[in-house]
Amino acid sequence: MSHHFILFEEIHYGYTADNEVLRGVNLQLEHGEKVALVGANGAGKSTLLLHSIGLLTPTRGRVVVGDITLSKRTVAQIRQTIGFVFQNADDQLFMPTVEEDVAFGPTNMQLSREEIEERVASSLAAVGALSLRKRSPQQLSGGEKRRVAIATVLAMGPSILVMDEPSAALDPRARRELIALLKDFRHTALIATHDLAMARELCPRTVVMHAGQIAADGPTEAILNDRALMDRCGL
Amino acid sequence: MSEQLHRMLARLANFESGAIGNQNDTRKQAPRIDLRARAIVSLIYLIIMLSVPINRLSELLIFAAFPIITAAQTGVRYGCIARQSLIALPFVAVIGVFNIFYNREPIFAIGGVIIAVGWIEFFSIIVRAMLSVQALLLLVRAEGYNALCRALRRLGLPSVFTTQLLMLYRYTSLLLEQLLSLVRARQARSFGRRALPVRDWGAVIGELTVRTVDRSERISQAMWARGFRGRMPDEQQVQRWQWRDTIYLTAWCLVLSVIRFTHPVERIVTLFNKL
Amino acid sequence: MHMSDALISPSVFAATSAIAIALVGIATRQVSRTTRKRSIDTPIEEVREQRIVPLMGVMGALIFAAQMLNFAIPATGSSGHIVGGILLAAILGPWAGFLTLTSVIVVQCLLFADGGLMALGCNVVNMAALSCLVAYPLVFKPLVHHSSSALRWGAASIAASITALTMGALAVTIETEMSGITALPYSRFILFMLPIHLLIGLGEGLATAAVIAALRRYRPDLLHDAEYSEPKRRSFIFAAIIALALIGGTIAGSIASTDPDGLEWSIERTTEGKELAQHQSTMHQGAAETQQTIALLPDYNTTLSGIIGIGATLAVIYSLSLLLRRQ
Repeated sequence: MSHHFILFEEIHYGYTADNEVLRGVNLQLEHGEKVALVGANGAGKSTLLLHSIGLLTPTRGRVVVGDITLSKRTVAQIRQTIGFVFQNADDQLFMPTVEEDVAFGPTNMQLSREEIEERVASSLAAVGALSLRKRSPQQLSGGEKRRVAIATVLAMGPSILVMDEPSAALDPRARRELIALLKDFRHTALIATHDLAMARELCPRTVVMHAGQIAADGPTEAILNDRALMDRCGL
Repeated sequence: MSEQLHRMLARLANFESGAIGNQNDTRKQAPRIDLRARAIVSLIYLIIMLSVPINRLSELLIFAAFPIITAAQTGVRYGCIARQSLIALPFVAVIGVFNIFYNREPIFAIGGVIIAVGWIEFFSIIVRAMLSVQALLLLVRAEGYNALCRALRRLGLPSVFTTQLLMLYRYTSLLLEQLLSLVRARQARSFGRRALPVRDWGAVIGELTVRTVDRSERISQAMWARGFRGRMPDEQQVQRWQWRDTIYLTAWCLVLSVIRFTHPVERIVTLFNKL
Repeated sequence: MHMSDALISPSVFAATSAIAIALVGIATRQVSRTTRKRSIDTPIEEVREQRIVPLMGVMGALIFAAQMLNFAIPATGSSGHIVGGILLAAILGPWAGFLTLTSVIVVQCLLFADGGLMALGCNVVNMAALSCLVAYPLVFKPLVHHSSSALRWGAASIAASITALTMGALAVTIETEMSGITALPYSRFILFMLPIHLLIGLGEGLATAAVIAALRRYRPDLLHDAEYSEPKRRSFIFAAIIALALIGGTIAGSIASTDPDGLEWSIERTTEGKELAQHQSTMHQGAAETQQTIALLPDYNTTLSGIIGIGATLAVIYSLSLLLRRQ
């Protein structure tokens, strides 16, 4: 009975029945697995990710994280299990200093002051951003912002990481550093991305989404080499 | 127009960190006065300084000692602050000029030119404006805007409001950048008119508003994903109020009230005249 | 519109600050009441009120940024910037709008010394309170509702903005007069301020109307929902009367201003008379009195030599501080 997996079961989401964003998504992640989620813009990647931590509620279907079915009563617990890294780091870093931002999650978890301090230091160290702790997010470069955004999530001690476009808008060097960083993580991870090269490097398994459904699911190499599939899904 | 936005962006970045913070690298850290003490002293300074009657220019001038000394103490260049305090002048000068016209009683003569009370009052108004702006700028410059907001929180301002002040500052430069790109896109298609017609202005700001609200939704999501429950956390490590803060506070209160209420200038000058 | 520290007396500072602090306190409670009204377990999309914290933050930043961008005021050839009170209230509601605009004014005060710390209370009352808490609920809200035509939304924006700005200008003149720093006679001052602010209000109203029109086209849901129920007939008439009275009064006043003596109100006469008397007493017969109270008005030599002496002392302090810093 491991906590380290996510199950999306027959997820439907949309404002009207005939115009659904998600049309019956089934996806399961095993313990320790790193999965890339690829697909054209509007395929429903971000929408699916938002379902994992209950920021969106499916019109039909259910989400299970570990043994827990996502519901109003369990959402707080699930948000501690899953760390969500948003696409735009500026939206994630809203506090005046890096340090306070990283402490935001642990403080909301009502940990003791020493524990918070410990988590801030260790999670910043984990992304190699300890020297930035007194800085303000405004002063950081794109790559630094991204790493700090990941630290804010690590500070909550999640066992699963869900990331939306982590390598978007990074310069080549910052991107390489990010990939190296993510490679070291042992977390179960679900990464939505357009960066196929990164998917190849990081994730043994790739899931392709197309028009609100899963179009393909399998080993990354096989999927990325399937030209017909890639074309059909706008990749 | 876009230059104006650029300039504003540069100015905003200035307030990021304070003068005291910047010194850390070069010299050993001097014990710093609690920002709350500084804030209270600045407020008392303003009240006492502005209560000086406006026909008492000489007495008003002594009050320049506070910004000069504070500047030296916090490592800010006073000349820089003084120059910045000039920006407030135009409006004040326009109103102050009327004192010259309405109060024409002579007060003294320099080489045959008779100076009227109105002139003294005019300059008093100018000095008041400059000194109050200087005190304020120095307060912000000491440790930066964010530190000041935290000090205000600890002085009892409600957290909803200080959070608002911090977030406003956090996102202003981002929105200015967005605005800049919107304006550039528009300017590329117009022919360098200075101010936008109201309708275009409304379209630009309307679009920015929509984007901004979208951004706020994403920030909400990010906050909730990290367990936000409607209440912003307060700062963890706080500087304790210490003896030197009390001393700083009482010393300045004493000095300022002595200057204000015992009229040292006139005493000294009368003393000289008697000799 | 920003008042300056230099023109404010400590008593006016105390009064306006007290009002401003009280209003911020009430607004804070109103806003936090909506954020607390929640259960932790509810998914975010179901608790609209709780988005108010970041929404207020970024909307404040938006107004701040929007003020950097000038718009041309029609038919005058000059340009202006928005204050944003009605716009904020229309999107956030009156209390959150008030708090947001107050935060913008505080930031302008702290960072750019627009106004000043002492004048902060005045500025909050004149700009934020009068627009969000008076003009918005009394003029804007009763005039519009969801199905109103675009024209009516525009008219409401303009009426409310003009109301807010002229009331603000009126407040500026009253506060300045009560401070007694300037020698400018009240009637002149008010006749100078009101017509100008009528025009500025018109510009503000047009700008607000333009943004609201854009919002109604793309995101009508953003306009502070639910608030715009069917207006009551009486409040509609009331709103119209307030707006018309202010606008009409200002126009009548500016026409009358060509003959300023005809408009000297008795109140000004008395205050002005008092002031004059005060000056005369201190200037002419005052020498004896002032000596008793340790030279309330120093004799002429003292003033001059005092100024020179202080100037020299300050120069010494300044150069000392320079020397200290070099070390």
